Amino acid sequence: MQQLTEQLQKVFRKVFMDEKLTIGPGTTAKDIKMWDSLTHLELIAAVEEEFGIKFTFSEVMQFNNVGDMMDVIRKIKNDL
Amino acid sequence: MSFSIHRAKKRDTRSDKLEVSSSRPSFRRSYREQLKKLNNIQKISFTIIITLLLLSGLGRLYDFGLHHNANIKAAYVQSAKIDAALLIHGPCEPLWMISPKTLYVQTGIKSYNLALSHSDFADNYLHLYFYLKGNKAPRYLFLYVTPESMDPKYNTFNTYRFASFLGDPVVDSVVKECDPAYYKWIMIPFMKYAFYNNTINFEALQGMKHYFGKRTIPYYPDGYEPPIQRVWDNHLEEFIHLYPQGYNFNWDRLREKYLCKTIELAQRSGIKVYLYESPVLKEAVPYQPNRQQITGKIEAIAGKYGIKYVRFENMKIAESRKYYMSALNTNMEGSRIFTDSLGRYIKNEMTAGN
Amino acid sequence: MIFNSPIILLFLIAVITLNYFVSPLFRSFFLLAASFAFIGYYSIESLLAVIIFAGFNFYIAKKISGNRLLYITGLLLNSYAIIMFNYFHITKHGVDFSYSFVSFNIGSFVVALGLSFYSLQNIAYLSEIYFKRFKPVKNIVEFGLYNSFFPKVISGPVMLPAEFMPQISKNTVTKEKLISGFNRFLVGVFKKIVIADRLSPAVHSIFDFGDQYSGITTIAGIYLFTIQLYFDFSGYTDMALGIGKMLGYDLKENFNFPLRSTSVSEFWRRWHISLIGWFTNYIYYPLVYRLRSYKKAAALTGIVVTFLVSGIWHGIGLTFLAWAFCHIVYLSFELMSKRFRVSLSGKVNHEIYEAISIFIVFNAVCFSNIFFRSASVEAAFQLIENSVSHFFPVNWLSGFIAPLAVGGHQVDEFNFYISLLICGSCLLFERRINKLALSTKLNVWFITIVTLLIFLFGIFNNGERFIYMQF
Repeated sequence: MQQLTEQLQKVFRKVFMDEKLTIGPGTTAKDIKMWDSLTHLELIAAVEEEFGIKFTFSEVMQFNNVGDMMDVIRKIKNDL
Repeated sequence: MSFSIHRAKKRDTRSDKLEVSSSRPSFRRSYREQLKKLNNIQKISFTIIITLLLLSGLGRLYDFGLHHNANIKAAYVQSAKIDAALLIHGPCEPLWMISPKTLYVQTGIKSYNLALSHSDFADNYLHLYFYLKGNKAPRYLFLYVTPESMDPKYNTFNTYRFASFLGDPVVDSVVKECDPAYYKWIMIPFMKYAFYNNTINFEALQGMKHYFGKRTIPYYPDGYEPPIQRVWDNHLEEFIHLYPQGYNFNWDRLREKYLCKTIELAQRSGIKVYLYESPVLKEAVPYQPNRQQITGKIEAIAGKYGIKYVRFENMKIAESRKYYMSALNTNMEGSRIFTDSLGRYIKNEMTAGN
Repeated sequence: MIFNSPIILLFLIAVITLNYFVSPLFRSFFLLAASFAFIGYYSIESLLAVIIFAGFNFYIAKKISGNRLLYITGLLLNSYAIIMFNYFHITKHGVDFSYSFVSFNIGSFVVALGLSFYSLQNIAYLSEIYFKRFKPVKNIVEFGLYNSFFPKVISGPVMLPAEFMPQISKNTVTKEKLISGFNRFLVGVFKKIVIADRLSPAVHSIFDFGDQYSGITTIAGIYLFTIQLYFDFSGYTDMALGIGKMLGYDLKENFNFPLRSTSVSEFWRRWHISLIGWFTNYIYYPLVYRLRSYKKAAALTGIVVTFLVSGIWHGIGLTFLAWAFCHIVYLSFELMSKRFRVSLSGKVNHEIYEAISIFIVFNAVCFSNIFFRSASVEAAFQLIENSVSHFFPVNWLSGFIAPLAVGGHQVDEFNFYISLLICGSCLLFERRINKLALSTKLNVWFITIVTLLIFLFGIFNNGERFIYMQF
């Protein structure tokens, strides 16, 4: 759990070019200035690269916050 | 404010009832529902009543303002004793061209310029009707008529000028015929002013100002208004650009109807009517191929009523743009020359016993 | 404007009243009949179009699941409808600029009322079914209502199936809905005929005549167009949502104070939300998702394609492409400069940064709208040139006031100042006005005052000044 958050946080920091960024399960786009509809899919692509997975379109569209994303990552990793 | 107190009071008594009649829940519920319903309906009724009252009140205010606006010809001619011997009438051409002072030099009689910009014959008809309501009938009426007057594209019926005179059966019948879309709405209070509020608001306010300033004389007391534009306005160039093949006038039945009604009204009052056309810039005439044909039709109407259609087409000024602002409107110098000629014509007619 | 007919007012009163008393079982049928009557009253062609397209989409949706060819056929046919509709529009594009897809300003050249809008809905419907996110509707009456529901048929809002269909069976009409719907409707009427229609002559004066007005006059006209468009369209939206509410439906919001946006991408989340939501859902996200490995290039491609399609949807013509191009440039710039702007905002005073951002975004939007409104790209460039040359007029009355007030007389100035006063106040007090519009309480004074203002300052006669010629 801790490792997942840290790993994900690394991706966020890289995509959004902010070394001081911290994320938690409840973090949403509203909390991070750089995160909006224009950068959302760039973030997704980076997350997929980092974890070696692929999200489906409907999964991507249904992420409400970081917690949702982490749930799906865990699910995919468990299925693998 | 009073409603909320009223409601609060009722709630208090209701809570008493609650303790007592807890064995009758359906009655309590329907009573509360009845109350809520009643309050909303009361509110709605109150809103409707107060809106209608305010609209009617505003309407009265506007009636007052508009009837006291000295600059509105329709109001002024009914209240002031002008009693001119000669009336000039029509749209902006006579309004901007014919000064009663200049006419007086030749004719020696008092004249009044009843014309109003972009007015058609229905508009003219009603203004003549108003004039005759408040004044002795003049000896002569000179009404400007050209092929443009018979074409619905030129000039219009300016309904807003008559809004405050609705209720008079003559006015009503003309408005109903010339602006039926408007006539449909006016049963709603204040709508007769609201519909054209972009002109009427200002005029009503100005009228209030005149009333409190005790102003009874218009800015232009003899009706003539010198034009704002004084130089060539390039309308002819735009016209040629729009109609390179020339423009043929349309003949509108409604225009014809009200031209005849105006003549009839004048003749019933014993006025000698003349239809006239000021000189048209010769340069523009080739672009209107059926001009002569339409003029012929106007002459026929004049013949029907035994009146003259005087056309000043051969005046020298018609040959040069130097005297014109546009194809029909002469500038200050051209107007002076024309009005002088018109005055002399009228003098001749008077001398000849007409 | 369709509102000029007393018949439509009576129609609204009758339908809302009857709908309240009709049993919920029959309401959808009743509303469908009313919608057909409404559309048919406008023109028979429009009624035929909506029946044909609704019927067509209803039937193919039943067979579309797993059938790619049928799905693509459906997409193509609905898209074709939109393009043909716009094509008809441009061939009859006269001097009087009346954009058919905005509000009640529909002229007689609109061949099929609302076709652009319900076709988008149909595309959404087919897509949702093909991708198994929604089940085909069994009841043709309900589907017909989805297409033709009269409060939203003219110019939207565009609703997705999942947003509209569930409401049909759960439809209730309560007193609160009647009151808040009415309040909203009243505010919509006010925005449209008191604010937007009063600004229309000034905008018409600057945009539609070849006259070379001074820079400041031209810029004023350009600003006023965006403001007019905003009040016109949000007024229409308020009317549509108000009537929908009175009939028990919650239609989608279209505006969220867009002129206070601090970035163009934020602007597109606040302006014509239902439409942009559609484009984002069905064009932008699917496309960028597929290309996401290309990182920023994917987003850029998404922006280009989405706005090109949006441009075409709004109308066939170079001006709409130019308008789309402006926004492509803006959004690309924002994407590439995001990091810079975020760090800048951290360093500068927050209020100042926001104020400057709002000003820049407003100007950017107004600039793009020059193309949107102009009759041709040449005219647009002429206007742009005018706005930077001879900035101050020689004579303020004839060079600034008269063109904008459409006349140099006292009455024209008077009217123009009132228009500015009303429009300025409403922009300043937007939040409060919108709150009143949504209120479920019957506020006697609010209704009385707004009604009086509508009577006193509304434009009823299409704002036609008596245009006459003196030849």
